[in-house]
Amino acid sequence: MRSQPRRRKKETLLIIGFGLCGALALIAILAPIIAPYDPLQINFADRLSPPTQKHLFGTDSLGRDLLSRIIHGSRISLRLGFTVLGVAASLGGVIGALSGFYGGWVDSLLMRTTDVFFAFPFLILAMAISASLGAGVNNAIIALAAVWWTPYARLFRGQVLTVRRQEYVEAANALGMSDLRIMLRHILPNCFGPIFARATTDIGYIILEGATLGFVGLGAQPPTPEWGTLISDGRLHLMTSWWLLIFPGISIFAAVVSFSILGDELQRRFVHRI
Amino acid sequence: MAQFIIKRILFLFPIILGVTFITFIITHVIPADPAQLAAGLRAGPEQVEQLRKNMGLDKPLYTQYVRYLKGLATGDFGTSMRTRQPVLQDILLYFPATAELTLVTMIILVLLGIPLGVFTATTRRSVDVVVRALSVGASALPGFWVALVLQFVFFYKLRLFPALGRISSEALISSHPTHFYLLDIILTGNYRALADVLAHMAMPVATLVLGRLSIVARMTRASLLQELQLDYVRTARSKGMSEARVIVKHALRNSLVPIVTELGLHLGWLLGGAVFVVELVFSWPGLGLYAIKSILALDYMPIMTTTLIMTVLFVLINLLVDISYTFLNPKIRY
Repeated sequence: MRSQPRRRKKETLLIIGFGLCGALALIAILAPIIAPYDPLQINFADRLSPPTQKHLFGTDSLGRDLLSRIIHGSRISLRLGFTVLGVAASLGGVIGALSGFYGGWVDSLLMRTTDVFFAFPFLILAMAISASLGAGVNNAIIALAAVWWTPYARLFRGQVLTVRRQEYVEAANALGMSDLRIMLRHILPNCFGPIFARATTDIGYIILEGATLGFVGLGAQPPTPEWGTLISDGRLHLMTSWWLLIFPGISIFAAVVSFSILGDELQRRFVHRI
Repeated sequence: MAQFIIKRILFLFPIILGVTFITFIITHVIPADPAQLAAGLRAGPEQVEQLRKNMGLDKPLYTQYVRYLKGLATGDFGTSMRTRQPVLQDILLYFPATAELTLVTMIILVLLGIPLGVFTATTRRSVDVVVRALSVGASALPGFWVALVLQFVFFYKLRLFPALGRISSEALISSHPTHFYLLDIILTGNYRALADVLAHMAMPVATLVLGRLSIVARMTRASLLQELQLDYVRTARSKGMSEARVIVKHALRNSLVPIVTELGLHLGWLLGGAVFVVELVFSWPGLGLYAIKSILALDYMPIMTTTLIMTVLFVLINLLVDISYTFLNPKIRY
């Protein structure tokens, strides 16, 4: 009975993490319903209005309601985060798993390639790819995924190397199971824990980098209300209209922190379990 | 040990080659037509074709790549379409600004971060939670946002620091032996410009430092705490050594390995993109701003070259960090 209060404290952060991420997801899903205005609705009469009852977060230089734009921006950010992560983790996963499973020259070749990609300062590569493909959210997704897969390749490889030595894998092999089946049924399911934890934290950082690309001009393009693009949109007026800077920034911050908290808690549970 | 160093240096070459290859592929997937861009909107089709031949763009990709590699080996990095200067010249022009910003940031990170880490290591456990929260918080803020907020508060509202650039036009430094403004000031004795240069540096450096300070402090704290658990510390204490001496003379020195790794990573992080964004916001005339402008203009020679240079620097830094391990901790031998 005495240990119960301590237990509650340990779970608190996890609940907060889930709660925050859940709230973010809900906002994104329900965006068209909860946004008070159309995010693209231009209204010169109300331009550059500070936060008032009519426009809770104020308006931008074209009179568009900032709160609505930020709410819709959450859709873009979450879509960006999950898609990049999905592609990066899958690509990295396949490469890492093959590398760890087969070893030998396959391992060497794949790992050297990974090393080359790892050598790149990450933002430069993302910007260069993004510029080559052209601006826009979808190209930003490709650019970020092309840069983000490398740590997952290494992670998966490490996990596969560890799990592969387990006896049940040897048993499966002796029973004549095909390589592919062993990988899919035995090895991969046991790798997911730590990787999942890291992936959660990464979503937040992907959103952050996506916002940076948007700010530089390479990601989402105006009038798309991506959070980074919102900040760069309003850059001319930032000094006089502080809400154009503060609210999108807080949104980015909130998203990253939510995923970080959840990811950190998952990390604690999955990594310490093993 | 020399063998290890040589092996690592040899390893550099295939990696750098790989980097040039990937950079080349990225920049040649560009859908826009570089020759058209270079020629300008009014150019006729014959002029564009002529320019295309001059730039070697009509040859197959393989030939272009070999030509590029040959150029790299001889120091010919091509010409920027945007500035109309040789890329090498542009890079030499803008690099010192970035280097100076990065160095000052690293110095302040070390001077503030490590003592902060030592301090939090010697105080209550609850401090750890605060520092951890600050770390997560600091990494969750976009660099460009922090930069803009600092600009808003310290330039627009408080008028304390200048918003843009490296130096005001009034405070010109007459000669630039090193192009590192701080060094130039010291070397030429032009101290009137010192306040101006420092004022311009304040916000960019603050932005970069704030991003990583709590992480450095946390790393130092964790590393130091681990070290303080060891037996020799207990021995030193029981010999009557003051706590301060125990920490500084023994524990800190031995906990330097992870701290140095961390600092190496920070340097990599800075050069890898953080500096770029800060340069953009503050119009700091460095390599980052040059790279961003080139990227936005699809000026592919500078893009390739700055990417290559930043990557090589990054790889070299990692190598130096690895080599420094053997000096910091004689137990680690390869």
